[in-house]
Amino acid sequence: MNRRQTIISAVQSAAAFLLAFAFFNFLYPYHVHYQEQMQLFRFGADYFRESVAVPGGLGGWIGGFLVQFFYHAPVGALILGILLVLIQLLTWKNIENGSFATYPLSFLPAVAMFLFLCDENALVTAAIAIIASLTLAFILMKIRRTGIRSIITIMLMPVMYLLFGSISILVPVIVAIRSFMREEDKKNILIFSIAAVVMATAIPLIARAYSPYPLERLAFGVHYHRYHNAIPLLAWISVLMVPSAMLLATAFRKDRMVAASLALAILPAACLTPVFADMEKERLFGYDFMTRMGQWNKILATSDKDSPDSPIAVECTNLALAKTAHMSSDMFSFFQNGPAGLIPEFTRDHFSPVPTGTVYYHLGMINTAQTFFFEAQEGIPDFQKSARLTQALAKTNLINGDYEVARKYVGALKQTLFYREWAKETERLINNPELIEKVPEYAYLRSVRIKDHDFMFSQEEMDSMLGLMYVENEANVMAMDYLLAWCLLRKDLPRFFECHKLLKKGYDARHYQEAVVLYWALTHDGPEGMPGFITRNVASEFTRFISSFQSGRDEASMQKEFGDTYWFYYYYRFK
Amino acid sequence: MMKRVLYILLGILMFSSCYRFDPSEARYTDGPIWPDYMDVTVPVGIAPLNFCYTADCGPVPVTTFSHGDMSISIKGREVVWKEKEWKRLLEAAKGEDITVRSSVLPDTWTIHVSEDEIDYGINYRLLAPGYEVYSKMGIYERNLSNYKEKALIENTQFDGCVNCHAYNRGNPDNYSLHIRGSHGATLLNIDGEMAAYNTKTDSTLGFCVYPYWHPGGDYIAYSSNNTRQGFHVLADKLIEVFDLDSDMLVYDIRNNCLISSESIKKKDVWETFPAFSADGKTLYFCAASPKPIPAEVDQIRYNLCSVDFDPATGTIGSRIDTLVFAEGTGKSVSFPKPSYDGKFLVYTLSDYGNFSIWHHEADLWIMDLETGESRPMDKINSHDTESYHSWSSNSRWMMFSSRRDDGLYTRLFFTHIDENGQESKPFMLPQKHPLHYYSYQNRSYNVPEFVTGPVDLDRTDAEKMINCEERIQFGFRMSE
Repeated sequence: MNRRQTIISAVQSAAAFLLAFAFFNFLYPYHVHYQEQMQLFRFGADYFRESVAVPGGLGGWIGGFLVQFFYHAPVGALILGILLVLIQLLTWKNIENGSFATYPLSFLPAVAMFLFLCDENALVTAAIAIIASLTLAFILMKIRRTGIRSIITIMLMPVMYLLFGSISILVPVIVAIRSFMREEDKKNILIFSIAAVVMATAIPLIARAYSPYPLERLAFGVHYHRYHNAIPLLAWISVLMVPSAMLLATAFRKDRMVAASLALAILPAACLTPVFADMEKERLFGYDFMTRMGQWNKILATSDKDSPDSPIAVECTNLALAKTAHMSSDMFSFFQNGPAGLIPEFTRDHFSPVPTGTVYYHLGMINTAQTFFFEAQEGIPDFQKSARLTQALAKTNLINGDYEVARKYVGALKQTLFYREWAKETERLINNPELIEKVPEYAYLRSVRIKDHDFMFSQEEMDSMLGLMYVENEANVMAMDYLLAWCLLRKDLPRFFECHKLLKKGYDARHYQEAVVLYWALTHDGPEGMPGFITRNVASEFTRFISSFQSGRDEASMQKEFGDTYWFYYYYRFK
Repeated sequence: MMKRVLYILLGILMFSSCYRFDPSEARYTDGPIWPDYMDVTVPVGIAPLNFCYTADCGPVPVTTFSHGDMSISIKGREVVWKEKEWKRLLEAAKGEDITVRSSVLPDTWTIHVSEDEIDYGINYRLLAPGYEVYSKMGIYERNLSNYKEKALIENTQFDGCVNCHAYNRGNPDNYSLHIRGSHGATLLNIDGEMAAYNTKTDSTLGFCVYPYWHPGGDYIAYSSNNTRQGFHVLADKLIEVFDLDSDMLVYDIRNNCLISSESIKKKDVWETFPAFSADGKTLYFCAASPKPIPAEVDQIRYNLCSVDFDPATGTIGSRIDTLVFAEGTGKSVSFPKPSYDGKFLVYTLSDYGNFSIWHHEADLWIMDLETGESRPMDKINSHDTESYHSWSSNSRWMMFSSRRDDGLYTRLFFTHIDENGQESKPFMLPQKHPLHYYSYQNRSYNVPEFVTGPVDLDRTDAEKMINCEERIQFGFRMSE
């Protein structure tokens, strides 16, 4: 390539890096955060030993090391951009006699890897394994003597497998193709290829005797995807793209073919990104992140802009409404579809119990929150712990007075980069429990939790539990908000009316008035005796609603006019 | 430039993989050393009892261990033995005391080296002390003469959880291992031959759990439990695990048949935790009267009962004897374990229910089987939970699980039981760097059992058996 072509090629790489960075930083930041909270990377000998004890363990350890920086999404995006460009550059370095027109082909593995990384459960270890393999292959090809190179490559295969997993099969593949393209001795290449195939088959079989994993996982990678029974297809397509790019390069020698090769690289990225990027999940992760950070107004602004409809998004929105004291007045301004959007039932996975646990935490149901956080952590499919959830568990144990358990979690967090300061501060509280009461969050939660009446948690008796929390401590306004919301969402108006009587202030909030008027209309013949806090405005709006409803107006026009009222929910939602 | 990057990466690697002793990692005790190995009794073959001083300031301690002419001094806040020196000292002090003197403590203490041998090793399940969802778990084997631990089977190999496991008096060739989940099965290894069984029959409540081998090797007692769990809201209680129903059964290995009888299959009695007596002619078990759940979960109390068993015919007796009427004292019995010499029976006593591991008040009691008298094992009980326990094959050592350190993560302790049933002060399962190890061990020790030799469990074969659908079906018959 001439100087101009070299600059253009460099610009292509820089542009690719910027695009990847921009994508992960601006369009996909919550996926980046999600990755970070699915691990607890610790600096320490035992963690290192545990990590490297399985095939591909060093790759997993390096992956964990990098992913801890995803705590800050821009840094995570930067790292992902660098990894992808490294894959591209190293692929380019491994293309024999590369030309200006073949340069875009070197993007193919990186494009596949980019699409793979759009999956929230894809692990960066796969990218690291490809980078390590491309680097080693590049170094090996510096050895001029075919025989020595072949022997070293074969000898390094089990080592690479142990360090980076099965993707390292790429090393002999690249060496074989490049040797062939260099027109080296064909007999040598054939013997080398046969030996490599034998080794590639034997290594996972041998590993099976020493590693407690099924054969298919040892063959397709232990550390490449969070779900152990999922074959990381796109990661393997990325691997496949390396020899494909090397072979295709022979067809793209002439400079004028650059447009075609560029199209070959750009088109899959442009067409497939919308397919593989799951923006619905990005929204969900966004709600979860904002809930974690207590960004209540941001949640409401997000929900206002784009009405949430999934249970988790609705759940987070409702929590934000309660935390900003707007639940009783604005709850039905947002989409609601039953009590599952207020406090969903426990599900056995590693994500959905987290926001629900957060709701319980803010309600002061510390044991329940602890259960949800613990179970979510245990549910992480690749058996990792979560720094975020370990922190949450340290908090619940601290509030419960289980200081030695809290100390254990804090001890683990002290070995991390981004939770270390928090852990040290919390350790100070553990050593001086009297200071805990001086931390408003902990003092408040200790004050509002149940202290006198023990009972077993039961989703079916949510109203009784919330009621008891309020009765034990009337400062727990959120418990009452949730209790009344629970009754309203279940359309249990008699129970609502009964509980509403317990309120000493805030009883005239808009949705409460709407529910009382409705209940009155359903159970009485006229307005006589209706509670005095019902405003004239609400009463007349209700009259308008009922006459519109009885006149048979369609749902859309009713929603346009009354969509933010409890009456609309009562008659049109959660049927 | 590349070199610099390489050096930085190597630096990070070195930094992250070095072990450094940090006394502030945990503070489980107000005592001067942890684990508390002062005045304990140990078997001659035990791994070195490394420990650390809990004070992280002041002069660096020098700890001197002496017996007769032998004297070994170790300097440092963490006392880490060379294995050969430790073994030499223990051999020399067999049946006598080792005196320990510390340069920073006013009093000396002793380590008594018992002449009674302990078994080769132990097996246990390691799992997070969770509720419904399980992360990585498995059955592990630990050699007691060193720190080596190996995984026998882990749930990385299949979807499910490894559960109850039991050996016949520690015999590693005969074991029962239950797998729960979509690939549920019971792996039975009988004299080296392993097979997967479906233990659930039309006539029983569910799968067979809590196995206990008959000393003759022809029977295994199980119970079949319909178990649920609930979560408390008060700070000092977390979880309650309880049965909605349970029955006891005896599995006839030679005839592949579960045996029940009218006496142990009563609708108005929940039977669980069966255990054969040393002579194999009595079955001990826990029994409770059903109560409404969850309203009266704290009223369920299990008594210790027994029933005759005839190993020649596989006949279960018709008369139930109550050995400990715990209900009468407002307590509840779980995990009855008779010693193999037939002299004693140790059980767990808690306020109610049978899942004592979640009861902070749970303690171990010992019963003299000759007199029928029970007493609390004060030397080994603590302010927190003591629960599961098992006997060494010679009945001179007992291992038990305890949550005395942090109230949640169960750890293992050993006590010597003399011929009069007197326990010694217990010592914790030794680790090379105990404070560091236990601080970062995020799994609990569960169902610890002694083994007299290494268990030969072929992980790959077991995985194949678990993952395939084929199961040998248990039969069922009523006792005559």
